[in-house]
Order: sequence, then structure tokens, then C-alpha cells
Amino acid sequence: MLGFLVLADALIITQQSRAIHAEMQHHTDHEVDLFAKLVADSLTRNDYAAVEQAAISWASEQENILKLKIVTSNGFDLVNYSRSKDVRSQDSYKRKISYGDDHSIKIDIVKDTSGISSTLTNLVIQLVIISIILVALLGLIIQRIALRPLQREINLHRKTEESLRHSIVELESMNYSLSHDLRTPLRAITGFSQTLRDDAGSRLSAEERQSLERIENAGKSMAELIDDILELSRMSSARMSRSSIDVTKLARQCLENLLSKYHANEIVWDIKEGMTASADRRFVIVLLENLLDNAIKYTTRTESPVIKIGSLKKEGDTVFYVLDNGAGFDMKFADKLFEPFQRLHQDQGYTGTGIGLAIATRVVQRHGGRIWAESQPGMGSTFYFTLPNE
Amino acid sequence: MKTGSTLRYILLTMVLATSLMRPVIAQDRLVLGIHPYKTSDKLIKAYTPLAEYLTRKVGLPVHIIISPDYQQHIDTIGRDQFDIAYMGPAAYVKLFDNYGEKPLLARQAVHGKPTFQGKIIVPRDSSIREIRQLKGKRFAFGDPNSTMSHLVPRYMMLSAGVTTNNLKSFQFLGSHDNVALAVLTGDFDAGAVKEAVFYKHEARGLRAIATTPALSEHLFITSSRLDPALVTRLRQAMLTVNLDPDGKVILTSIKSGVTAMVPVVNSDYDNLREILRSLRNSGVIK
Repeated sequence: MLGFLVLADALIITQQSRAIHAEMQHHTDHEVDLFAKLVADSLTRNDYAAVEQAAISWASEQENILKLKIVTSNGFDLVNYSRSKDVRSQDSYKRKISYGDDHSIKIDIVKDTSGISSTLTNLVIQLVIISIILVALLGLIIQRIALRPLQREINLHRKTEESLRHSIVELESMNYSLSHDLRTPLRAITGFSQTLRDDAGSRLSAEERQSLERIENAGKSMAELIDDILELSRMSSARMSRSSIDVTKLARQCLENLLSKYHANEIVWDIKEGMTASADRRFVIVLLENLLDNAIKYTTRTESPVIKIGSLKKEGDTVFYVLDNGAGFDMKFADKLFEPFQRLHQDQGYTGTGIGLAIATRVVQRHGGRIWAESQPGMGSTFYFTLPNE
Repeated sequence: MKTGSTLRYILLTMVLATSLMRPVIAQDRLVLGIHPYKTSDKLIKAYTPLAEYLTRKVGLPVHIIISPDYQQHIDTIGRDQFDIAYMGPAAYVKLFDNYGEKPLLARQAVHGKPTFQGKIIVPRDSSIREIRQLKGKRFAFGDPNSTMSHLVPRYMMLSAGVTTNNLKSFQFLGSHDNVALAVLTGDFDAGAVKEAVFYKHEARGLRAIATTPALSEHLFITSSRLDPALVTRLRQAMLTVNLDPDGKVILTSIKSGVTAMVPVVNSDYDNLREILRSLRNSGVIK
């Protein structure tokens, strides 16, 4: 903006100076030509005194003539007029005149062009003032028209974001306390029903004992659900600290723990050696636990089940994967898979809360990575994820 | 200009008529005639202080008349139709030749000198040292009627054997200044000017190879019909004008540099007379 104005000013000044110069040059050229003609005429008549007189009166009338010299061919100064004056700039005009048979004379005129300089100086000052006013005006207009509404918008967004973050924190803390508070009455329910079954078990009918067992089991799965909700909440809000971690080692530990938990000794597994990542160790454990838990769960009904953990390079990124040959799922439900409480196999006797993949997703997202799955019903599934370095 | 000269004519005719009718002795006023070397109004202004001075001295009103040309001026005073007249030296010689002797009043002294001279000039670095060497050269004169830029130098050149025929070329440039400048520019090899102009331009690169004889300056004469006692009183007034409190103004307004009026006799113009006769004999002038 300022640059444009400076450029425009510079352009105007150069144009003007050129125009003024050209005009003055033209004017003076004309004047000098007229004078030269007068001199030539007078000299043809051998009227040297007239030349002298005309030159002196012309030069003394014209304030801006600094020097007027007429030199004859033999080097004689017929006219040598000069005016002492301090000038900033001057232009020189020269003419050679022939007269008589073979005589010639040189006219040398020096003109003061300081007038142009001062005109230009005035022009520069005017332009600078106008430019400053323009810049100030434009600044004001931009602030009024563009910046102020933009600032208002930004403020609005910031406020919304603030209240959103506040809501999230509130929601999560509510989530946490709710889950926490639910545990106590739940513990009472499962605890008392267990006590009742132990103490009065012999007096109860088989049907009554089954009811108590049901209460107990429902309580347990509710406790699991609460744990998962708390985990999800923790993964959303806990502080993360990245370090270089041995993914192979962590995967092996998780898998071994889970296999002993589920007594799933028939599963054949394979973990790629030397996998590493820069990530939060605790988070990655939760991630692997959930994916492997899933894999084990959905291979329970598979003959000769296999679980494989590995990594591959894709477009420069390391993509980890957990592969199983279990139940699999229809890819049209792939989107729902990673949302909390969405279970695709609810009615088919697979245990679980439906939060595991949501937790895994949260872990990957917090590392700035991506998680996705490929599957076909009955052909097993592969879960991919990335843990990019920051 | 045309109207001016016509008016001057009418005025002059009226004056002449009255002066002709007037008895010789009974003088009730004086007429001062001036030759037209400047415009009438300038000349009237220049001679008014002198006219007033003379009125004061002789008790008669003095009227200034400007002649329409040099020849008429000579003729008018020759026929005694002016009471007093101012004249140049050559005009006086002509007047004397044509009309005989008239009472002379005074001649002017410029810077104390009642005579004037001219110079034959060349560029300072010229090889020309004397008049003889002007043969085959280009020569610049001023006005054909000018004493110092033509007549006297021409006479000197003729005496040295230099004629317009054996000059390479010659030209009349009108003024003394033009002659000096023509020599300085190299357009001419030599020229003739009055002393004052030579000194004015000398430093710019001029040298004089010859100086003319000293000729007597301009003079005032009177009509032959004027009362001798009045002539004496007028002469006395003229010769003492520089002593008058207004003397300086009176004299310098006639011509700058005039310092006094000094006595004059007819023989003061003999050298000029001789020169003019010689020029006439050679056919240079009529």
C-alpha cells in the first residue's frame, strides 16, 4: 500500500519534472533561436553594437540568464555577460551562426533552472503530505470496515471455544464422578447378592440361585462398563509425555497378560521384532490392550486362531497393525466401529462394553495419528494405526 | 516622427517669417538654433538650461529651434535667420565657405580640451604598423559624414597613398562602436574611430596605428545682424558659464563631459578646412 503510493509519487514527480524541463527547454530553445536570428541579421549588416546592446538588455531583463557569451571566430568576446547568483541547477544552450561570406559566431547561454527544482520540491512536499493523509485515511477505513468485524468474529469464536472447552471439562469431570459414584451402590448390589447366595444358598431353589447369579453378573458387567468409561475419560484428559518406546516388547507383555487372563492357550501369535515409536508408554499400553483384547475376543470361536502384530511403511509413515482371523465385520459398519457404545456383534454372545475401540481411537488421535480397519465377515480383521512423531 | 518633423517645419517657418520682418536693431528676443543630432524634445530639454542662463545674463527671452536637417541648419544661420546657432566643425567650415564670416561666441571644451581627435585602429596582434600597410586590407568606416570615423582618416590615408581602390574592401558601418567591434571580431583588418571610442574598446584588443590632427570642437556663433554689444555680452556669458552655480548642469546637459566654453577664432578650423579641401579635390566629398 505504502509502496504503491511511493511508486505513484515517484512516477508523478519524474513525469512532472520531465514535462517542466521539456517545456522550459522548448521555450528557451525558441527564445535562443529568435535571439540567434536577431544576432545573425545584425551581424550581416555589420551592426555589432546592436548585437551588444540587444544581448545585454535581453540578458539583464531575463532574471534566469546566468551567462550570455558571444564569441567570434577569432576568439573575441563580442558579448560576455554574467550574473553572479547562487543556483542549484542550470542548463546550457549553444548556437553557431554563420553570417556574411565566411564568418561565424558562437552563442553560449547558461540558464538558471533552480525554478524547476523549487517547483519540484514543492510538488514532492505536496505529494508526501497527500500520501500521508491517504495512508492514514485508508488505515482508518480498513480498521473500520475490515478489521473491526474480523476482530469481533475472532472474539466470538474464542468465547465459543472457551465455553466449549469448559463444557468438555465439566462433562468429563461429571463423567468421572458419575462413574465413580456408581461404583459404590454397584459394589453393594454385587456384594450383597453374593453374600445372600453364599449364606442362604442351600435354602434357595435352583431358580432363585440363578436369579442371584444373574444379578451378580449384571453388576460385574456394569462395573466393567464403568471402568471403560473411566478409561476413556482418562485417555481424553490425562497428560501425555512422549518417549522412545519398544512397541514389540509392550505388545508381547500385553498379549501374554491377556492370553493368561482368557486362558486362550490355543491362539498362535506372531509379533514383529524391533518395532519402536515415539509415544506415551502408558497410552500405547492401553491402545494395544484394547486392540488385542478385541482380537482375542473375536477369535474365541475360530478354529486354530491366529493373532499377528506388525508394522509396514506407507508413504513414509510407519503403520502398525493388529491382525486376527476371527469373526470380522462388514465394511459398511467400519465408520461406527470407532464410536463409543457401538457393538456390531451384540447378539452373538461376544462379551465387552463397546468402548474399547473408542479408547484406542482416542489414544491414536492424541498422538496425532490415524486408526482404521479392514475386514470381511468371517475372514478376520486388521486394525491399522499410526503414531507419528511430532 | 513624421508628425514631429511636420510640426517642427511649421514652427520654424513661423519663426523665420517673424525674424525676417523684424528690424535689425530692435531685439525683443533671441532664437537659438540647434542641428538635429538627437530628437527635438531631447534637444529642447538639453538646451533649456543654457537658454534660461542666457536670458538671465542678457535680459532677453531665448527660444530654441531645432533645424530639420544639417544643410538647412547651415543655410538658416548663413542667412542670419537664427540669432545664435550651435554647430559642428565641418558644418562651420561649410558655413564659412558659403556665407562668409560670422561673429563667433565660444567653442566647447570636453574634459578641458577644446579639440578632439580620432584613431586609425587595428587588432592588437595585427602586423599593420603604419597607414601605408593598409593597402590590400579590409577597412571599416563609420558614417560617410563623420569627421573622425571617415573624413579625417580618409584624408590621412590619401596622404599616405591608400585609396579606396587599393584597399581590399571598405564599408561604412554607421557608428564608431560598430567600427571598433568590426575590427575586434576580425571581420575587418582596420577602421577609423573617434578617440573616446578607441579608449572605450582598447582593452578588449585594439591598437592605434595613427592619430588624427586635433580638430576644434563644436562652437556657438551668432547672426551677423546682431548688435555687437549684445554679441559681446553673449560671448562673455558663454565664456563664464562654467563659473555660474548652474554651470555644470548647463554644460553637461548639452553633452556629457563638456566642462567649459573657451574662446574661438576662425583659424581654429583651418586644419579641418585644409583637410576638407583636399578631400574635395580628390573627389571624396562634393
